[in-house]
Amino acid sequence: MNKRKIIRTLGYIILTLGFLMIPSLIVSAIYQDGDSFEIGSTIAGTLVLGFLMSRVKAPEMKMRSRDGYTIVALAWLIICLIGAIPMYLSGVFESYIGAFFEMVSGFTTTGASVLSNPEYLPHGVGFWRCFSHWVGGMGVLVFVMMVAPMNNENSMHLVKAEVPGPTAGKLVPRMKETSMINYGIYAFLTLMCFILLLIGKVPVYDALCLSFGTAGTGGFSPSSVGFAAYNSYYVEMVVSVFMILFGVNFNVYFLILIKKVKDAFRIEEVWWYFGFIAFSTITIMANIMHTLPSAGQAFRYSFFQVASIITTTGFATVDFNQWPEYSKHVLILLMIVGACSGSTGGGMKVCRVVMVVKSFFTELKHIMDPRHISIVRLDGKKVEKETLIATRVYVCTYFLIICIVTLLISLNNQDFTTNLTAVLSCFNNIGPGFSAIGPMSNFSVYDDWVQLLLSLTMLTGRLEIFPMFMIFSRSSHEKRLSL
Amino acid sequence: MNKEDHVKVCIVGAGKVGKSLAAQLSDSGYKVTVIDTSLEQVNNISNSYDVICYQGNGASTEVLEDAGVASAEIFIAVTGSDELNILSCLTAHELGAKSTIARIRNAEYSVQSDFYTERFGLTLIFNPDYNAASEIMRLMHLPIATKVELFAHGKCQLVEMKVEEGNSLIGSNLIDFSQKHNIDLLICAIVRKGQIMIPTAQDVIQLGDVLCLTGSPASFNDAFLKMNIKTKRIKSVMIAGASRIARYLASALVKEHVKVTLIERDHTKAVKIADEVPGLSVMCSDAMSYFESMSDSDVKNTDALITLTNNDEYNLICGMLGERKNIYRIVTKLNADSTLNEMCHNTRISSVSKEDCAADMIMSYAKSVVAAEDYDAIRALYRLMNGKLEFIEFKLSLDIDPAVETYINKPIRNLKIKPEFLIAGIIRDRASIMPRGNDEILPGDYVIVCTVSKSILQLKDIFEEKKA
Repeated sequence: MNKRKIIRTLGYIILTLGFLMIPSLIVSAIYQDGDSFEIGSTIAGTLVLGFLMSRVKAPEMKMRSRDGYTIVALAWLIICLIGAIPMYLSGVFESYIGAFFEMVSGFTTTGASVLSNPEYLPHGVGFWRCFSHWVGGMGVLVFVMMVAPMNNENSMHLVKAEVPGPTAGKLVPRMKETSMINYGIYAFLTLMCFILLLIGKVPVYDALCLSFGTAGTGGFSPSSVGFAAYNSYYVEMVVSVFMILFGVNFNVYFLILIKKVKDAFRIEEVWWYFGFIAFSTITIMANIMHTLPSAGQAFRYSFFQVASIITTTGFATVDFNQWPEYSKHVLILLMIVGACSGSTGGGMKVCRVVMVVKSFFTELKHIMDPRHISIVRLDGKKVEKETLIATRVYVCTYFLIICIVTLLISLNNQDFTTNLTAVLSCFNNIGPGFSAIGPMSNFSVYDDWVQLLLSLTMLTGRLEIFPMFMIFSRSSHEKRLSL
Repeated sequence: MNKEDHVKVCIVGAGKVGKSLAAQLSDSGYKVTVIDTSLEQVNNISNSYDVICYQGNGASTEVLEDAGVASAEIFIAVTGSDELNILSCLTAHELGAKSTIARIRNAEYSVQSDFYTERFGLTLIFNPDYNAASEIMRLMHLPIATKVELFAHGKCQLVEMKVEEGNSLIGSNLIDFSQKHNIDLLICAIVRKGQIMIPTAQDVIQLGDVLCLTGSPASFNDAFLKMNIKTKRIKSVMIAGASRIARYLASALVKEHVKVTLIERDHTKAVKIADEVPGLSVMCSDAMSYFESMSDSDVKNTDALITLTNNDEYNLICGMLGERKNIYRIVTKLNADSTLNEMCHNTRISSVSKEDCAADMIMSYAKSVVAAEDYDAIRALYRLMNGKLEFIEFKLSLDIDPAVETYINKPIRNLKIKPEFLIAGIIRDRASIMPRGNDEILPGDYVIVCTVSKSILQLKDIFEEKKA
């Protein structure tokens, strides 16, 4: 594809980003704590840049799958780079890389922070940090596609690259409408969460930040005290339930919306997802019971933590670093499993786990008798061979990347648990890890270069590996790409 | 002049089913028109049977008008293509054909057959594969039988079974059968040494006889117990060939929690059927070689072998191999007119044919059209032993006049029934009655008559003419 076209498309994305920063400016204007100029000037610069780029004349050309992946990867890099500017300018971060890490962590809905005291952030920047969760959760490109006057013919490639899960589909014939329906459901659920938090007497600013963090399954808290500040069973339950709701495949909500409840209940992945949650909650509850005064308390902590980790949100109400080993191991496994495909959560995705387990059993049958024809079924339908192969490759690459990145960051001389869980946490877009980066500490233990590497790991995890590698693959630098 | 002579039947498609229908209908006296695109087929038919043939597309109005569809009583579309069958029937319906019958083989279409009959005005949709699969299903439910048919919406069952060694019936006559053994079934025909006969009360059951029994479906298991026949529930079935019949059959069996293994040589077909029927175990292999590779215990645990490939010879050989290996129940799909059917006699192999199922259905419909204006219309017709034995179901209307139809309200023992006929069952108020001497035929009954002679249209035809 023509480079001009890529620039033009990126222009629209940057322009949209500029508009998306306006709410932060408003918040900053309301609280008046001195970051209005930083945000305002970034917005102005972004809008001008975006406008100029979107004016680039590009010939009409078909968008190919590869172009879609390249655009998505570049777009995510650029919005994180731009989004980090007001953060850096606010002066709270030691370096631009730290701010970039924070911004990537925001847009990829990871929620890992290098700040020990996020409450020192001015309100405008703090709001922007949490709002990025909300934008990144559903997908930046999906949002752009909804609002920008772009040629929608080949937009499927963009969506495929951005929407998590092994298969991406449309709900309605038009991509634009599909995006609108998804964002509609997303916004409605976020609003519900916000209202319920307000009822629980959470301050407005905190309620906003928390509901963005919950909706995008991000995990930034507005303050380092976290949920202890509210000390409310109710608030924790609301957040737990909404985290789980946002980790459900959004197709379920769409099917319920168009009154096909039966079909909604037929989505197998969601049942497995609930099964994982129930199993983990109960066993962790039993495991931590003896350290706590009551079973109710044990349920409160285990349910919240399981919901937070499996949906890859990463909120913490308790220092689970202190929990018994079994509970910690369950949480690590949940980190890998992740939420449902087509949700705002990250991780490997429940349906991939289910598919891999099922293909193990079919392989077993095949080995017992090579003549045996066995089929992997999901939702009662046959899973196509291509999808299965892609899933297996994805899962293998997934673990390979975790190994390599863990090896690389070990040069920074942290212990194994810290390194492994840091990579798992970033790659699966969770937030906290164990040991030195537990829920009560942060990623500032790592040097700048590790933070940069982990930022890229987060992006790779959020975009599900392939788009990020597409930037570096040789075929996208073919000669015909030249201006 | 026969009543059939007024009835004009138009058949589109001169394939296997079309041909066999044309032959049977024209034999029974109907005026048959056949339309097919292939000149060769058309010539072939017009040379062999007393029918008129047109060459052309059965969905073209021009061809249909030429063939005089407007005045046709029955229009039957049995070409190889479902879509063409439906389209032909729609066109014929618009042109004025009274009743239209379409063969539909695609499962996606046949599940919506109600839609076609209600919205499109088609009279009857039939799916020979599905019918054949249902017939095999009935055999699986009653594995001792070589043939099982249902009458009158499942209220009455007809079972053909062989008298084997150890059967306590050997040596008893038909009076003993009902009185001594107290079996609530009726023996309506006996096949002895290849000869079919309608038995009289004094006939004695011998070893090797094939009995045709009728009764309510529930009474059979009890009766078999009294006859000292061990019936075995079919728990594990092996099917050879992923044909359409196999698909219907496998899904029906899997639904009843029977363990089904299907063997198909073609990998693509094997994958397809494995996809379509969840819970089915599919092997991609040649059925014979798979059979050879099975361990003795695996063979022992297989209760039934059903061979449904497109190759009749292969089906039969495979079935014979199964018989050799002592598999309890063997069913083989054979073409209706195949001489291979002869090979199944005196073996435990039962054969099922799609064409038979289709022809039975249409013949019974054709007969009911002819008799529609009478009090006692034929509702269904079933044939056994390659059509030598027929079962005809009559429906008596409620306003039938006992003064005209003298057989009404009289004990059966007082009726003079021609020797080649037998009243095999009466269905009254949705329950089946085994007709004994004291039972009476009442208005509103369904009466099932068993016969070796074909040409009756009304119930009164079975009684001796009254001497004036």
